[in-house]
Amino acid sequence: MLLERKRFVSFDGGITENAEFLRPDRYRMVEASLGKKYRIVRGGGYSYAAASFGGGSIVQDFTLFNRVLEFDSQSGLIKVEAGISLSDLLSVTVPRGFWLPVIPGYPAITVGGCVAANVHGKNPSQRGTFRNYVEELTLFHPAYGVRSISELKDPLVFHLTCGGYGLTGAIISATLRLERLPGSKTLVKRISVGSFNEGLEVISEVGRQNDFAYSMHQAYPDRKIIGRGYVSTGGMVPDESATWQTNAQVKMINASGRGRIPFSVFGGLRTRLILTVHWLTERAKPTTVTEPLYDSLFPFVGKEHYFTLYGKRGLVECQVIVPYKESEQFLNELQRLLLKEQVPAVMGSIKLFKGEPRLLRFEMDGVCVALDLVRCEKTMRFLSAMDQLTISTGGIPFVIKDSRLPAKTINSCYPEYELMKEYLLNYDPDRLFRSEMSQRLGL
Amino acid sequence: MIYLIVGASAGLGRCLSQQLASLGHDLILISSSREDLKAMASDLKIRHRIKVEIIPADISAGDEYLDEVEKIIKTMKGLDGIFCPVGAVSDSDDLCLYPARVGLLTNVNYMSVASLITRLWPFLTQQPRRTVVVGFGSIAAVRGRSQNIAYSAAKRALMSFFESLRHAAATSQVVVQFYILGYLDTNQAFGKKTLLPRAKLERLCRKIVDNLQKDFGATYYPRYWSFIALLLKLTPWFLFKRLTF
Repeated sequence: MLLERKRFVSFDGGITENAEFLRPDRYRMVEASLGKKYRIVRGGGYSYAAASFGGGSIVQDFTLFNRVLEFDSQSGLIKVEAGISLSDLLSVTVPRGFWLPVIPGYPAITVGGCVAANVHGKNPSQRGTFRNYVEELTLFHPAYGVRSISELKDPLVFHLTCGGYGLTGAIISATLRLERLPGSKTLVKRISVGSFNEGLEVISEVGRQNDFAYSMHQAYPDRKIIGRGYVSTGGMVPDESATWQTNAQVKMINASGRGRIPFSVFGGLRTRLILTVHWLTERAKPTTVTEPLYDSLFPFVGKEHYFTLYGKRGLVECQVIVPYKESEQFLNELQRLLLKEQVPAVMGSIKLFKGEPRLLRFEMDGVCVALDLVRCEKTMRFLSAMDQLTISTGGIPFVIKDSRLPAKTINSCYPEYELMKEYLLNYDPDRLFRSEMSQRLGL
Repeated sequence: MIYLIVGASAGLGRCLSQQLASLGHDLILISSSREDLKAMASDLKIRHRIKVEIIPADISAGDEYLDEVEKIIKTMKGLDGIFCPVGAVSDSDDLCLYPARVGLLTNVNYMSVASLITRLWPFLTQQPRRTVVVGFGSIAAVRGRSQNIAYSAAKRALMSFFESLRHAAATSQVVVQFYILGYLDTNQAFGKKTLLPRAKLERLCRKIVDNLQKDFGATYYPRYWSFIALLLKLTPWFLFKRLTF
């Protein structure tokens, strides 16, 4: 099998590596022997961390495995190949009156990536994480061949795979449990808030009654600006039409295209200026709108310039869940740190989370806080302090969102870190599937 | 319309199947891999609500599968077109190639395609409307060189076959088209250093589908290859023999 050499970059621009890759388009190519060579599967390549390349692995691009294999319009079960993108999947299911309630923010993310990172959507306190909608997986590992796994049949491998960052093998297909869709339009209400804590209060009030509830805050370290933002909340509007369309200009961005501007447009007063214009623009918009489901599920479509403005050097995102009781203190301390250190932060967001922590999956009951920052030395120092804050409040960081997270932090935050290592080693003593991220985290 | 595609589970055949299915055409798909064909058929049926029949067959292994093809065409009540984006290359296709391998390359790239079209020709001529046969050659066959020897020879034979076919079809409703392809973004070219960029499959397939009614004979894709092919043909031998590509 012929391999090509290609330069891969993590979506945040933090990790770049040359690696050999192949692009199988037939099942026999997936199962073809690569001997004892390390390998890792890549889907859309939207991980902020280098989870789909690096570590000396051959990259197996699975985007050609994007077919719908089975669909039962009675039960809502759909079996799809792992390389299918979320937008492609929903373009099949929405016109038939079904959707997947856990959808991360970008349409080109693949189902395989959603499983491997056990992603969450717009209201994880109500809908949980992606694994809740996975009925069965077809997994290939050279030591086991192709096999089907489910939570009932093989719980350990299932939990090692959902939120296992692709280390248990190549996910070939997934059977997902879809839900009936009341309509293909959403009623979105935007509530203006003045601080992170106010955002949290509002989400706590409205989150339980809505299909989605999250807040976006400006995070520029200035007392007049920091924390101001909007809570977006809403749900499906019952209607007859079930169409899959968007009002936005769809021009997909990818990890290499994100860094096309050689410098960061964000930074210092430029960030302040951009955020002021953004704030004024947002304020001019109506507080209640009806929009296509596509636009509510993928709010970043048409706003990709947000990521390109960080330039070639990229951004840093840190996303953590902290327990409810610690959340207010956490947000106060976060704001204090940002102001004191004058960290080049740009945007932040808050969601409520409900979940059962296990192994390294990003789940627990609490408040999920995300922060986007310009990549620079000051940011790195701030993130070390953030790690300490996360540890001290009993929180967990999302390893897929932060390409610099050290193994030490993960070990301190995730009680089952050592267990995950042990399980992986028992499952695959050769540890054939590996990435820069898995190597950095000592998995 | 009902179209038959040979080599349907990967590369150009897969892309063509998707384009034709998206226009609502029913399909008969042939490929050596049953598993990939089943996946293709499920996907196309679910997405586009069309009829798809599959025939897992290694077309180089003999013509027995054609009985099954005929049976399905009769069940589907006709055939409106045949697409043959099928082929095989070998990295060691020079004079060191085993004779059996030469036979295989000739079979896949020429004989099996000619055999299939000859057998199914009556179905196309019987239709009261325009039908189409589309073949695919290669830029490698423009002028023989010390690489891809058997492959180029077979593709040149195929081109000659399509010329004859077009002549034979001149008084009928059958349109015969032949695309001479440069580098394409498929796994056949994957990992190989190519002198020029690889063309996107989606654009080629759109062009093929748009051109279905046109009687143009043979064409190069991408079009700039026609100029390169002319240069290659005109290159004097004393220069051509020094070229290593």
